[in-house]
Amino acid sequence: MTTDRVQSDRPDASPTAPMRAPDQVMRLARLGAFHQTRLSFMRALLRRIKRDGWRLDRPVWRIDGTGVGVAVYRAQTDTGRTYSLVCFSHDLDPSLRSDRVIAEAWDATFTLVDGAPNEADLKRLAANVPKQEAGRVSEQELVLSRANRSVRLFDHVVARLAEGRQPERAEIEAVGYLMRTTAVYGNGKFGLADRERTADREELSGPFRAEMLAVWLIRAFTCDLAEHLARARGGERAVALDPALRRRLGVGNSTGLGMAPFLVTHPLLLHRWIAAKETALARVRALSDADAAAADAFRSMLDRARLGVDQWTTDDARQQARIGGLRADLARLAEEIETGALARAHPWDALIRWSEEALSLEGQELLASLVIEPHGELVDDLTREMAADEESVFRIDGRQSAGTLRRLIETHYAWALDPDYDDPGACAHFWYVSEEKLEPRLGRRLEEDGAALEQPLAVGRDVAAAYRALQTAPQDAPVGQFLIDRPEHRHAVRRVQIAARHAYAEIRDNLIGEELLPIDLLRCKLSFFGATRFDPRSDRWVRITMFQDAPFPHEIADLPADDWAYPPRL
Amino acid sequence: MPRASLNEVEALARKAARGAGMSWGLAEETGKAVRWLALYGLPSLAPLVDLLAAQDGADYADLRPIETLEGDGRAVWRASGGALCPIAAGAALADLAAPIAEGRETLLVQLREPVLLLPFVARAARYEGEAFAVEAAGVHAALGPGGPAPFDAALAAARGPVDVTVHAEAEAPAPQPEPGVGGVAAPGDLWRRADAFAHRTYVPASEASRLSGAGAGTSDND
Repeated sequence: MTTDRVQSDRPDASPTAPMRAPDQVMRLARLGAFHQTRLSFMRALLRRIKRDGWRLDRPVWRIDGTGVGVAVYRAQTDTGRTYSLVCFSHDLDPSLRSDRVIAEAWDATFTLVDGAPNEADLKRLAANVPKQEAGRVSEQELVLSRANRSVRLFDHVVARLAEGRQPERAEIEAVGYLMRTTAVYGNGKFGLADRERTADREELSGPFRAEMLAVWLIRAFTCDLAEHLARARGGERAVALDPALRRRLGVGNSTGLGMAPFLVTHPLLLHRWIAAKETALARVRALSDADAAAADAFRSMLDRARLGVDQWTTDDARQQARIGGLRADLARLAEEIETGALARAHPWDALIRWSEEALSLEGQELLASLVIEPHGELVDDLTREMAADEESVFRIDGRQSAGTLRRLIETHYAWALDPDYDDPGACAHFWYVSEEKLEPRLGRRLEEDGAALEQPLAVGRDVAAAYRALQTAPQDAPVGQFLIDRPEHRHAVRRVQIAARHAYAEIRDNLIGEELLPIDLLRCKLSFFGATRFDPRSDRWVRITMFQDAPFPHEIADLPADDWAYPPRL
Repeated sequence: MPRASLNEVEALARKAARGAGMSWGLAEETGKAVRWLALYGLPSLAPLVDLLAAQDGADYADLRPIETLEGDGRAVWRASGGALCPIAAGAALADLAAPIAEGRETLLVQLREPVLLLPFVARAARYEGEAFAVEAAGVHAALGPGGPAPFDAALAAARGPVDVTVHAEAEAPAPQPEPGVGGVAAPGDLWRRADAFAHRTYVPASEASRLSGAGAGTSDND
């Protein structure tokens, strides 16, 4: 079984250019410059919904004129299953509206139910879902989430529609969504169904697929709610949103440190995600020429990507500068294309090589996404390789010799052996879980208490410590014996054995160093979801937009499912 | 009775083990082991909290297995402190299962909470592709590469410390059906006892950490 998995990590497709090396890819600065690709989970979900003709409707809408009540959105799959998003809409005191995961009240709360809830279910959910973490859900529920209004835009849209006018396009584009989720929980949290419940279901067989479905349906709810309130206020005069303008509304998300440890605690999953993207890129780079259709599609997507960059706004000075650089990068890229870059031999490979000298990391990674974009037939199968069961690599090979393990560290963790972790700059931070909110936090080692309760996320330091211990152990002794004697190295040894077999499993940077920017971890993960318009609110908190320009559930049968990742030229 | 997901049971067990002083790697093992037991409907959090209470403050060096080989080819694992920790012994057994698979019987002397050993033997069976048997105080459990055989009812009551023998079985047992995945019963008193250990891993908040630790602002009115 283990052998099969290793092989499937390197799909054996047609000739490929070499994959980019882990030492190049797995650096925080580059991971923190990732953009969505056509392998992203939101896009894979909508392609699947369209392909398989899921039926989508809204069987329950009991929202009053003040916006309070319950609604249910239903997805019936080709596999005969039903998933229902239950939405509770509330009247929230503005003083309670908080972005933070630790808030206690929201404008709307949601759960994705496995099946179709009856009245008794709705009653049970009404008593628990609005309380979120403080309530209790059951193994019938797959996802728990909540959202707050983007107040100014929400009010503007409702007011305009109530007067019978469309909202200002500029206002809509400046924000990009009516509501922002502040958490989307799955996988057994707060009593939700464990991942195993749905792991064997073909229609949910992709990472975070239930979560992505919930968010897509939440987006529909946010627009329906605004139109409902406009009708309640404006009566006969009220109008619905123009469909094209409506699609410009995605759904927002605000994500803090809570998400950051995930990539570190799921090394096999991280490897699969990165390997899929890198395999896609390598397949495209292996193409000897750019056919006319691909070249046209690339030019069109580049043009739309430039529009997307123009629409990407943030108050964060660092990100503003990066967006400015990206704009210049794309102008340079357009010039390359106009001067015949796609007519050369191995044009995609040549472009990537050129970008490594000519463009910023933001530009290099957007180009990687763009060259993959026109090649769906060549790469879309890779979305099937992106799930992982960490349990399958949990076992430690205790028979391996200490000397072999030591050499594996030298091969795969040279980056970890370099820093002097006694240097204050190399150990500036520590990850911990706060007693107050039970959420991951980042503290400053020399200035705050609590470093003795550090979480095991200092991978580089811990592997280096294991390495030093291994140097003094008998080199032919089995690792199993080493770990009986030195159990404090067990978590690091497990990681080394995983990373030795899965090239992209490990972020190759110091996760406790002075230079650490936790938003790099967040952006990497969110790019695989398919998020756009990264808007850092600090070095450890980011807002994003999801599903902007995507078709709504009532439209997907009639519109392309996957032509929205770059904004349309209207 | 309140119910919990396997994910919650695993997370609580991992944190409780760490809170009680285990290394992170062994705490991870504890989480997986307790999850496996909960999945199969065996006692899970109950033996764990008793184990953690019994070993609280103990030096790991006194709990780990030290192997001696007997003249008859048997291996004997003893702890210098008198009783073996089933997590430390289980992890070592899963890491180093090959000699047992090849026929070496291993005696674990005075093992605490022997039910906690089973998930590790199950893992050894899966990876070695061999069947193993666990014998303790008249209770017999067989675990094959495809999963455990139906459990002896007395297994749930087996507490420790007790001598336990692990050996290879010539024939793989017919595994019991894969249990369905649903919530598991989580009695409040057990949950609270485990949570008290888990609580030791949390860092109390200060004003500074409230502001800087999470990095988010407090108002969302924009």
